[in-house]
Amino acid sequence: MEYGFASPRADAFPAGLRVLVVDDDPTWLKILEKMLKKCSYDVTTCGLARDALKMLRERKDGFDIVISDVNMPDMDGFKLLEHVGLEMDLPVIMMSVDGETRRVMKGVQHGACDYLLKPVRMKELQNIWQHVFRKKINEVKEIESLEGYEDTWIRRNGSEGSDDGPPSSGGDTISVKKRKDMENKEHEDQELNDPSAVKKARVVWSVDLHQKFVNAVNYIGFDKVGPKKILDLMNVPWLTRENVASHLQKYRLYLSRLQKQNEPKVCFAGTRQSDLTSKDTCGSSGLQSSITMPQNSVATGNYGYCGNTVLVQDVGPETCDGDMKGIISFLPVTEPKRTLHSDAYVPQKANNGSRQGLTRSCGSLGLDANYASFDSTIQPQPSWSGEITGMQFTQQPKKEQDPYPMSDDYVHLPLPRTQHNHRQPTSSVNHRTAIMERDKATSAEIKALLIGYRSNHVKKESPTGHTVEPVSFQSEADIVNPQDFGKMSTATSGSSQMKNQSFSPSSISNSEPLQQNTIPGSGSFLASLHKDLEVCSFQGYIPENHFNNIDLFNYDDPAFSTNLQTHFFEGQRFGCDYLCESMEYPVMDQSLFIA
Amino acid sequence: MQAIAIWMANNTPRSKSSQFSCATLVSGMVTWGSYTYSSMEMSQLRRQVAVLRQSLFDQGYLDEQFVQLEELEDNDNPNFVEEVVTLFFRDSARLIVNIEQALECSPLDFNKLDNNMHQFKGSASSIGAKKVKNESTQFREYCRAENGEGCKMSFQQVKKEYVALRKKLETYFQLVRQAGPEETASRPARN
Repeated sequence: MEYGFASPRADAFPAGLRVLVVDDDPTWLKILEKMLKKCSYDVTTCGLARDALKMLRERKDGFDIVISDVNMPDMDGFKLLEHVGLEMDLPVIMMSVDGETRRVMKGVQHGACDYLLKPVRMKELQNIWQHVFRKKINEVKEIESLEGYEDTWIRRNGSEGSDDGPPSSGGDTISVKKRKDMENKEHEDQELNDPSAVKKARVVWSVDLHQKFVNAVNYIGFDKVGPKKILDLMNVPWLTRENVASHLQKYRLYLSRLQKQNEPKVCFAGTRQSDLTSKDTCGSSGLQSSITMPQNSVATGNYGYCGNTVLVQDVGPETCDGDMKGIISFLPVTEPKRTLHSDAYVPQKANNGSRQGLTRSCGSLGLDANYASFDSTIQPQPSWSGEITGMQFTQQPKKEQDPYPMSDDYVHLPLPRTQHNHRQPTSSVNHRTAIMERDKATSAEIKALLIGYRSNHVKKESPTGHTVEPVSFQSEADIVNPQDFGKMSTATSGSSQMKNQSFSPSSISNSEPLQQNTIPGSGSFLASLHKDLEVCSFQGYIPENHFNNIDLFNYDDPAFSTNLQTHFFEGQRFGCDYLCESMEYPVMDQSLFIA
Repeated sequence: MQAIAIWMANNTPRSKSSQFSCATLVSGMVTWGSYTYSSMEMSQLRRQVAVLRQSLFDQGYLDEQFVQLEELEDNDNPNFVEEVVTLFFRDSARLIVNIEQALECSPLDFNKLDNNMHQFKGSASSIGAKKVKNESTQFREYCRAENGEGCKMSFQQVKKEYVALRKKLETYFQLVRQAGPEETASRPARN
């Protein structure tokens, strides 16, 4: 396997095993170096955990195993352990002079493959190759499973799936998973896609691979991430959607754990509360993301996103969860919360849902290239609260139609686009209660409009291709699209208030990327057009707010436009980060250590 | 300087008689060839080294980690033990100062003290400084009990053992150097 263990002298294994030793104590460093050299290992020593992490990131695939001290002044050894385990997926051996059970347990919980007590003996070090070897065996299994044994293999191990959830996820996740398992029993052939079963298929997430993963996640935006999307962006042929799903889950939990370290006692009740609050004030509150993050693990804040994005991300999958009634969940969410969410948001979802239908149909028809670029089009939108529900909804109808539990990979469903498009409103109606009727009507309306939009979109989009840079393609495709779309929405708002209400989310959502592109693109007429759009969408919204008695989202909030501006800049910054990969490391570095 | 001596020792064919060609460090100068130890003198020196070494174990100054270090010594690092010990004393001096300063603070930051001592203890374990390690453990127990007086008292013990060990080891390595690089080839029996 291309990312796996690659000792320069594979025949002489374990000689030449590349070991990185991290210890702040120079004396131990010297001793360990000598010991490991005597074992014919290839030793690199490092006195600072930060340097070690930097080295590991720079020299991707440059080490086979890491030995790290627990107590280091610059960075907790456990933290280093997590980073290494997640980003490089290397085996890590912890060592400490302290044999306290509590600490050893902590090490194991954080993923240490061994815990050595100082003074470390050469005998113990001689044996460390076994950890590398074990990983290698897992790789082989992985290859086998990819070659078609996967089904049986996963089935065989499926029952264990719920037992090896990450320790910090708590009992809730497990119970949820188990419940899901029960529900999934009837869909025997879908069992493969159950994430708990999927966890068994292990992939070695090398630095490279993880970097691709992180890039993909950043590119898509945390709110939108789905395993399939990531998988496609990563473009690694042997990787399966399940691998990505599992890693994504791990990643989220990991981020949440990072946060949790600061707030050791996050109870569900508390988080739930804060979640709701953050939803209420979504557009403007970046601070609350810190509260929301711990539970939901989508701590994008760490990666230099804006706080609002974080909120969106957290909220998105959760509510989606609620709607799905626990068919599947990424996150440890409690049942009462779900109901609460769904109840509160139904009307909004209805409206946004239709917009999402639009997004989706566009995405699905354009296949890879199209979907990728379209996603990024939506990317800045999460900053605006209205979009959140839209997002949540994106996944919702999907859940109903799609047996695959891992949600938002709808783009790659082998459904013809018309079918897709058609289904969407139907399923959304299923979920509605009060506004159902009206929505159905409007979604039909929108569907008609979609066709126009879609064709526009496709036309502009297709030449941009697969690897379009987020910024440039936006200006290419979206500046134009929203224009057309803007006309449509204006027309709609003119013709009927009712239509307008449900349609406005779409127009707003499109006006936003428009605005973003307008500013850098310097097209002044576009800017004015955008204003028009904004106005028209407001018109649609203000009555709606009264109508539905929802003031969760203050669309008529004067802060709205400011927010847009802010997020534009943030969006831009993100784009830059993504484009210059070199910039990504410092950003990561900084943020990762904040926790 | 030492390196030169070692190099010479390693590159000189030895006679099979009781006479040794030997490079020795005498008061910072390399003496080569002008003086040859008699076999009796050599064995006396070696015996001295062995006795002193054994006493360090018997009196509880050192534990088997020290033996580990000795076993790591080879042609690439013929003075490995001494290098490591020197490194330990250089680095730990810093930790001692840290703890000393922390003990002067009021109120005492037991967490900080414990962390510092943990680091010190880990370092002491690297050379097998048994007594120092034991005293450090005692100190940490006082830290956990938040016993300030106990900490201060215990720290004096730590320092006492630390200084005592340093003196003993200085003497020992001086003797080892006198016995010459041959020492590595015919290390006295270990316990």
